[in-house]
Amino acid sequence: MSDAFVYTIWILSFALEVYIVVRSLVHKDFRRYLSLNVFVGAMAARDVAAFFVQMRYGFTSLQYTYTYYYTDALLTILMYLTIAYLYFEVFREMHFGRYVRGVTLLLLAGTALFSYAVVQSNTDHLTGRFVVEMSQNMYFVGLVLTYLLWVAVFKLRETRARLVQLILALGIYFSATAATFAFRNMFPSMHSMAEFMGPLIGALLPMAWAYTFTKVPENARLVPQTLAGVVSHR
Amino acid sequence: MIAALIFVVSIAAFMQFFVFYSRSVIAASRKHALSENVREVTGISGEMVEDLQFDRLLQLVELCPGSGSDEMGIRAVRAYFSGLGMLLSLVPQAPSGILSRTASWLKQERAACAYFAAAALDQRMAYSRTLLSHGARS
Repeated sequence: MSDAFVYTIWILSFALEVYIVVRSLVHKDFRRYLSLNVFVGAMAARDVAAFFVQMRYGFTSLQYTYTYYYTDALLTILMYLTIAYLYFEVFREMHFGRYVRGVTLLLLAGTALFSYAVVQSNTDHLTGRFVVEMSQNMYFVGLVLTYLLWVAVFKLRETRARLVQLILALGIYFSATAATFAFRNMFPSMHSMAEFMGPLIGALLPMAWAYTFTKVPENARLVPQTLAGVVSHR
Repeated sequence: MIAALIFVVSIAAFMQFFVFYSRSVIAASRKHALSENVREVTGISGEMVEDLQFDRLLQLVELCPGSGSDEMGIRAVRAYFSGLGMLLSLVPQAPSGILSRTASWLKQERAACAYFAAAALDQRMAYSRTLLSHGARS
């Protein structure tokens, strides 16, 4: 994997993450998309931290591995909060907010307890295959949650185009990341290919969200059912 | 075993999310009415755009300076168009029946991608004109 490629993707991801947060601030949307902005801001902070650790210790160092996987676990928890926010938005008119908050807290507590239990019983091999398996499972849970959210969008005939695109982009990100970790878990000898895919997939989400916030107006409408059927065009 | 299952399910979900995402990007472009300028440049006359025009339209899009905000949509639709092309080449030609309907649906989807490219070109041309007029004023 060439350094130029990694740095290009890194800079692109970081620039887009900063763009999303700054754009929200400028358009006074920051509070409206709070959890999403916090998550994107955390991604940018992680990029900076990983960059400096990599500069100082190198890609193959233990320090970089720890930084990458620990920050990734934290980001996954923030991403669960983002999914919870999207659930809240989809179910808002049905006044399910209280239940969504309750389920989110349960999910967070459950994930934390499960992670703690797994870490406690695997303290002797926290790196290597174990972290890959752990990340694979966490991203897969995210994918399942996003898929259920997409089903809810479909059934409830949610028409907010911006919300629909934010959810679909999240689905693409979770499924691609879970597949990459699963591939890496199945074929540990081909880890370089998975490492090549990692930064590319990491850039997908900020790219797609930046596109959505820039090109899709807040009041734009889209019927999700038309995405599943035959689209007749002009 | 679990990793293989997660891999297969994730790939299937990825394909589904990707198709829906691409179609949501294309759906937004269908509301865009093509201007006379873009019709003149591309030779598009009616309301339909031929799927075979997609590559040429994208070449024109790349030549035309834009704000860069449409890059993600263009990349997604380009990948979707290529995927549809691969599927179309796998569907054997048939006069009627499910194969014929599938081929016609794939062509219709590719034509929608071409319309998206024409709309993207139109927006970029409008952006360039705005830049030029600002430049002339200053």
